[in-house]
Amino acid sequence: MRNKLILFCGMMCLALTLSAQTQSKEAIRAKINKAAQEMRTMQCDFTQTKYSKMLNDQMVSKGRMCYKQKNMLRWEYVSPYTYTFILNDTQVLLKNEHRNDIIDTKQNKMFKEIARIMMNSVIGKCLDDKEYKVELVPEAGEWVARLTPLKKNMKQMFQKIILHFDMKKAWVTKVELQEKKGDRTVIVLKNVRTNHEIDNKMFSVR
Amino acid sequence: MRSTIRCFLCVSTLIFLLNIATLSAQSLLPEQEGQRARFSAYIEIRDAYLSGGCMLLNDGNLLKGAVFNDFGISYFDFSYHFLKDKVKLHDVQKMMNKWYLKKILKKDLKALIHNMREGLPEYRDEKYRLYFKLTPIPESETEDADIEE
Repeated sequence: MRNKLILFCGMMCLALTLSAQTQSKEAIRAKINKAAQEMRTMQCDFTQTKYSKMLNDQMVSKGRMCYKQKNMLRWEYVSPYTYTFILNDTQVLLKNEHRNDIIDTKQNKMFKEIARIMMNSVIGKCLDDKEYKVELVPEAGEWVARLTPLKKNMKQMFQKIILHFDMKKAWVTKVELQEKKGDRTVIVLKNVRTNHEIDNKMFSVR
Repeated sequence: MRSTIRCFLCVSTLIFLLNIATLSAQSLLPEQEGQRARFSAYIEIRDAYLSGGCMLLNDGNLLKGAVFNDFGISYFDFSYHFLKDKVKLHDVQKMMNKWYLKKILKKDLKALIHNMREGLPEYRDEKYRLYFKLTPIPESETEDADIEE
């Protein structure tokens, strides 16, 4: 009788612990989503490190990012090469030292997808995306979301996309793109400023 | 006396021109084993283009390369055998993974590598309207450094 009581109490404790963890993840998910909704603008510097498995080598590039709700994003590399990606609603401007190109994402599905991934990754909107299987876990003082692509075209490019969230502010601090062949790209966001005014000229595609 | 001076001037000019020729033909490839080099990459394909970065590694008999877009996503990896003078492609992105494209790419990469050995960072394929340019990036620019405000 006594053993049965102990077993029953143990099972109740386990059930309560599991329940608490599940609720906590849902609460964090809600917190991240709320932060993304409330983020009218975002500016930051970033460091991007591309790691090549074949060469066992890496290359670092630096840049700046600006985001404005709902569909404006400026992603600019300043070192070691200059390259600018500007998304303004359905128009994308690609600018490098050789040429400028304006692409209409309504007619180009690939660019529409790239723009959507970039925007959603940076502001943390991927968690509710039905195109990924999402695991959200606490790790070393931050929340880490591991996104496994479910769609064929994304599966061919990426094995996983990993987003690191600041626990207090619930915004993205790091994005890791893991490719199937073992390469990975890590983008660290620094000097983040949110909800400051950004001139729309920054997102001009003309 | 005058003929001696003229002779000296001719020889000096010849040596000077030979030095210029040597400098301009300096290889852009990592020539020693273990040596690495980084480039910004630009490949024009008719009206479209690919841009991003390229890393090269001299791995003994092989020159290994990784070419990727500005966001770090791979286009393809390749290896070039110095002795066999042959290019192999590895892990080609789906869009480019067609046998006819890969055939042209291998041929053109080989030509580009030959050019880079002569100090020329580009190659133009007139037949298929492709243009390749690898611009060397100094080592210090790819290290961790703060962005200037």
